[in-house]
Amino acid sequence: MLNGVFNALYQFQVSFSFLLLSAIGLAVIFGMMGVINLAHGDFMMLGAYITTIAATQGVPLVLAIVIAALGVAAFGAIVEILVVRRLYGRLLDSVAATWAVGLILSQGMLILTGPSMQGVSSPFGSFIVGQTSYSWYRVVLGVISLVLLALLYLLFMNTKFGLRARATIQDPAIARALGVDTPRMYTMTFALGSALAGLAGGLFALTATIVPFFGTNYIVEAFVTVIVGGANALVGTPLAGALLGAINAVLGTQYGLYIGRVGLLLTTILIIRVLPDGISGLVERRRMRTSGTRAGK
Amino acid sequence: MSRGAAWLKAENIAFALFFLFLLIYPQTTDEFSLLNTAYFMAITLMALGLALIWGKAGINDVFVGLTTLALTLVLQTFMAQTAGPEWSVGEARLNGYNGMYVPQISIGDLPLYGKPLYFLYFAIMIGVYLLLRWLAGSRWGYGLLALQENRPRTETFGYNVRLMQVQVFALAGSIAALSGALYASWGSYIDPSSMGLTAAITPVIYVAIGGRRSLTAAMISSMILLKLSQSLASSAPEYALVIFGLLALLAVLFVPEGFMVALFNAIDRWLFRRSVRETSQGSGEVVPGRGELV
Repeated sequence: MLNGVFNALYQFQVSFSFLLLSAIGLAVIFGMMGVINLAHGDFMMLGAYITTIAATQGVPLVLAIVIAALGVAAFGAIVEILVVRRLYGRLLDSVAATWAVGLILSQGMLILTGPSMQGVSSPFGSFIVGQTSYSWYRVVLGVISLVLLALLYLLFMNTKFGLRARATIQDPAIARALGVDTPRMYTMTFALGSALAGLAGGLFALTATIVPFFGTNYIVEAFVTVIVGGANALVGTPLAGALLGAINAVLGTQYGLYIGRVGLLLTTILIIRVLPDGISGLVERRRMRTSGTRAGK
Repeated sequence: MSRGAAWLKAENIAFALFFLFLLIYPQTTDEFSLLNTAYFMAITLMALGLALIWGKAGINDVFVGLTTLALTLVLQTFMAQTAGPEWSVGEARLNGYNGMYVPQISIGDLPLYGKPLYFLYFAIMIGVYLLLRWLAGSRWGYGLLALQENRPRTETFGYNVRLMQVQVFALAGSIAALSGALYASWGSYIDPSSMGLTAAITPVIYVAIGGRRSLTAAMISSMILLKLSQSLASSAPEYALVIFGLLALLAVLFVPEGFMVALFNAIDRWLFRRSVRETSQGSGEVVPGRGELV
């Protein structure tokens, strides 16, 4: 009984951290500029490759993952300046363009490095509860995702960059009038989102096989988490990750992998129908209503 | 410009040439290429349906894309787990990734093959195209044009915008279904791998590269791009997708109206000294979260 509860909690924790880590970069970009970066999965793939190559060259693992995040951030900044910048306000075009970037990236990686690469196995080993063996590394991933959320919160709420970013989200025209260099904010946010993709790719590289189409394993889940979460990455993404992670874990352990995934996607369609702005849109409306009544008094 | 010769424009000339070419083509080639071209026609039908939704009705809201994409993935994931014998419709087993056998189109006991099959697919594709052209020129089509230009204004003029959108969506859906039926019976086989993310995005890319505002451009460029991707896949398979990605990227960045439509417009200007009607780009388009981001 206790083992069953622990197993369910563990599965939930794993689903949650995978959804959160793969979605948070996408959510930051979507929330800032309303662009769905379909190359996100391929950015993760790039992070996984950089981590693997650096680690096999003898770079310490933590440093290798940091290098991956920085490298993908630089790549993301270039993509923003060359491509995405021209497409603000043209949503479907930006979807098609980022998809094309992703396609070139994954196919280019296939040409450069071949169909697969020797990966690095995950550290920390495993522990046993009851009859089942669990991976420590996946528990560490859960901790990392929470720490990451806290860091992002601090970045957006307590720094100059965060203040300017929030101003740009709220009203780009007025932010510009007050001296915020909004194009630069967009480039930096895109780089930040890309860095998060690279980080997620680097972290997941230790749990998966390294192939050029690495990203396709995560892009769908990342995408639906962002849709369910809505525009506010700090509020929406963790809540959406928790909701979808719970559904995925429960259905997945009860009825198998596929039904878990079907449940996740059906939930998404339902949420789009009833909450087009996602969970963070709902939270926002609630907050506006309470602050509105307060102002009315 | 004289009203009498309004039909004389690059788009219609291109269609006439395309039609004649496909009519003569069977005389010049072997059975294999004919079947291959029939396969392209089946897929091109889907692009026509998409051009109707995307270009003609201006349904390009992000949530349409997201919901339909999620629905695609639901169907694929669902179909992927139907390998067991409990999943069947009547006699037909769904079979998961083992695939379904699909009977060929046949007259009596004789399955269609070669030229008859080619001309059947040809007639269906051209028929659907002409039907859509006729619809686009009808009162209903003018309503769609208004809808595409400015949705709130169309509503205030008394058009039932929701009804029109449902009609367009249903019509495009039935064209896509026809395309799927022709595709499956062409190959006598279907499995969930033709339902995934890539399969969903490929026609979007064809239409985006060719030009979504013209059915002719969408049709001709789909055929050309299908041919191109197939010959690339046999000569330089690893570069095919890279080249495709680059084409899509170039189209979106520099020729947002599409290569084929841009070509039509250029010929019209040069040959007929006709100024091209400028349509406002995607008014009524909703940017999620940030409504005012321009």
